[in-house]
Amino acid sequence: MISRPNPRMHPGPSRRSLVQSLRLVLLIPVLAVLLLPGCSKSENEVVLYVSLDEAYSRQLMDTFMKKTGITVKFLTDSEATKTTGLVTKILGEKARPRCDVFWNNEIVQTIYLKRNGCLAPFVSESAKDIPDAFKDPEGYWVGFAARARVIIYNKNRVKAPLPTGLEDLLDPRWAGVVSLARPLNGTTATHAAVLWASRGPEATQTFFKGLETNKVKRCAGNAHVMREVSEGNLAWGFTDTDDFHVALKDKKPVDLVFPDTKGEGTLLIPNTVCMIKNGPNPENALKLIDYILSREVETILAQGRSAQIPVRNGIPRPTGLKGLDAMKPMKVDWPKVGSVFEGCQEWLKEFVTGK
Amino acid sequence: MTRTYPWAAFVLFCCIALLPIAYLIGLSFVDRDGSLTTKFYTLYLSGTLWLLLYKSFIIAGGTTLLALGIGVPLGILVARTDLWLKPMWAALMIVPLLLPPYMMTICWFYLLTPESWINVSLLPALGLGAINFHTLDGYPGCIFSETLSYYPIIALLTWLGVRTPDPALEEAGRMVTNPWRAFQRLTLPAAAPFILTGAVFVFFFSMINYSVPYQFSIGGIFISEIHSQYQGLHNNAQAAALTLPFLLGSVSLLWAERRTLRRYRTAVRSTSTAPPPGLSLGVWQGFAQAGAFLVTGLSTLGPLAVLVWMAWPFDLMAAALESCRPEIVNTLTLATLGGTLTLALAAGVAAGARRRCGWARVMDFSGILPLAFPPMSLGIALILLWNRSALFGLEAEWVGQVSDAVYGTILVMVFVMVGRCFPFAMRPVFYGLGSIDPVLEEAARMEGAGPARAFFGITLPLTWRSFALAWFLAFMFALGEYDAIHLVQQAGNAMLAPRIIGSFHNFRHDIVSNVSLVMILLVVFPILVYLLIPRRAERKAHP
Repeated sequence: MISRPNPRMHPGPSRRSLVQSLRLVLLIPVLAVLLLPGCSKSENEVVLYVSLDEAYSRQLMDTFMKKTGITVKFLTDSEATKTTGLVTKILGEKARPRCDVFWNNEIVQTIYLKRNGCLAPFVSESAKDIPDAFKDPEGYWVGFAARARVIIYNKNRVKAPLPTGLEDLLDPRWAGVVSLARPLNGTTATHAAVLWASRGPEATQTFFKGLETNKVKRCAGNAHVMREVSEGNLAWGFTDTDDFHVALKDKKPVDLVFPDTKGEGTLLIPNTVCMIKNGPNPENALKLIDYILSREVETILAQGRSAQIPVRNGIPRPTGLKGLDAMKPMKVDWPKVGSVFEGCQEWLKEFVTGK
Repeated sequence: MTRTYPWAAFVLFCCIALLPIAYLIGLSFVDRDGSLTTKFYTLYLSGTLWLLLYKSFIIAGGTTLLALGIGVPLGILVARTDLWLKPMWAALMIVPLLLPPYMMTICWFYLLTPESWINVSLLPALGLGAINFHTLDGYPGCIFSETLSYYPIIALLTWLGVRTPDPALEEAGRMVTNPWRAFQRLTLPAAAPFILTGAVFVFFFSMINYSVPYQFSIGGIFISEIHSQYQGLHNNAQAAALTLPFLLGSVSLLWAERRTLRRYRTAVRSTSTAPPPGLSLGVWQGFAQAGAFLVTGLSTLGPLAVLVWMAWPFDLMAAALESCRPEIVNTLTLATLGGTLTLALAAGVAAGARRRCGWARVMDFSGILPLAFPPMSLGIALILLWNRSALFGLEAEWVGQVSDAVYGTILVMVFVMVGRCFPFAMRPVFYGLGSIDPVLEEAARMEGAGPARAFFGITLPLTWRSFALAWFLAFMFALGEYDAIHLVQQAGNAMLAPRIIGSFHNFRHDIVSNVSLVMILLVVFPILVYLLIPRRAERKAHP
């Protein structure tokens, strides 16, 4: 029989034994920190946050590491939180930055970071031949290797006449069989902000309300749009040229249209690279930025699976993007887009949540 | 175990898992500028909340109902009937629990592509048209996928429930009516709390899962809204406020657990160990076999087969593994460390919860609190708590140093795993410790054995299966964790689950299929060790 414990026989924990027990339990996490290779801080390293898909960025970083001997610790973003996940992280780490370089696969969130004081200006030798239209006048970011916002359509489901632009999303003919990704992340968020800046808030809000009326499917991301169209679940949708190219390489029955060539033009969104203010490895950060902005990387990105469109002259354009040469690029006031971005997102968030 | 160890474990557990939850609760009342927020109240009085609740309930309720429809009959068939090949069906029934829910979703995306074997060969052969995945996409697809992941919880608890009542009761009933009616009138009502518990578990697991609704592009539900508020709008107070209802879920789970599992322990002790009488299926044997095959085929055989089919002939396996080597190493290391630390803490807290003191109940409830807390919210809470340079608005170097030591290292990822897996590890240890007589350890202590010697010499040999199960559960959940880990993973320490989902979105099916198979093997490996080593040791001891 077990009797109720006598408090005298079972005194409370003494401080010494408590400390001993705590030491015992703490041993495991301490060992974890010591043992895991990724935790060790090396002098010759640089930390990169990159929203370009991992498949492309990993290969490039391997090349950089082999060339320079500098270890690149990099972190990519998930498709659902494309870019915004890393931007949230950088904003959260503003007081004690852990990242040196941010390679954003779009531009507006980079401007957002600049406005929030997270970036440091830099000068890169590699950026000399990049047109000024793709550079921040104050030197906080540089753009390169753009993607176009295009219409991807399933050849088995869409016959002539083909959709030609953004307004076709509102055509009742396509009700329920077309898609635009959630406008809260990635290049779709950028696209929404560009519309907000160029057309004004009211016209943009009317457009997004029209999408709901026409039952336009809201996919998780551009890759999701591409997948749904590739598999014939949807007729067509808006995505980026890199996602279209992946489907094409995968021999899916898809083709593309560069939209609005007779109107406001096709939106070109460059990748941007920037240096984080007070990052832990500023010297290596500059070396990495030089590499990312090199002609070599832009060439690889153009010829690779992601088929990025070079912004510099003299770099071969990607093959497989039918109609690229005839494309009319949209003129965009990026600083203005950056300034309206927050207001646009606030409205969109409320609008999307309420649906 | 020393007298102080449970306290030390409890303090550490509080720091790792409960402090972030408490911090998030506090944060829900404070706005970005530090003032008391009114958003909290407006949110709970607004129509938005009801819309979120409505959509979340559609998924969770639908999943629960469907899981009940599948899990209860299968649990009864395996537990009580003369179903042929019962061990095989039982084993196949458990397999979905070993697969992370997002993996089940990915498998079904593959199974229902237009070019899939089902659509190209099977359905036409049966005279049926191809299933367009579009018909499954969205809510139906999400409910279907989550049901296949979670129905084993209900099936297992049904299995437990219909075996718990005293067999003599049903034997007596059989004297006045037929066996099935006696089962229906006597045993099934007694098993109802178990089934209800399973339903409560499934409901909350569906509510807190982010990875599956995300795969189906479902927004506007509680969990996706938390994600959007944190990631999209950087509105931490709103994200925190949205987390609060889930604490009610924890209370519900604790209540459900008290209603069932503890009663089960009492029932087992107080009744005979004779197995309950079997139920004959008679002419229904064929239908039962077909049903068991259909359910396990949809939830286990189909998903596993499609992964093998996608990876076949494994010529890309080496390249896929090389490409994901850092993620595999990191995930395996962290899951092992996380599982081990979780077990170390769970053992202490469970021992504390077994003691006769006022704190035992606190420890008991604390242990289950993170169960219905969304892993994503835990990740957000850990980031917000440990990534800082100031405390209460005051900047201090030591605060930054603490932040560097936790948020700047993999500790924050280990913390995620402890917070996520603790309830799953604590329960087996809690019940294991309850199954032995404490007098044994007391006697060893009186004979002069130290606490460690008494624990390792007496308690552990008698309860090692509970400890092994606890470690395995923690390891398994840590290995497949996505919802929180994709938020806290760090540069240079990327994890496997985000890589698999990312590769799926980028059409890298070679990586998805090969690496998913490797992940399944990593989960199965400890089970094989568990099954093989002790038996070999027993055979050596008793040739």
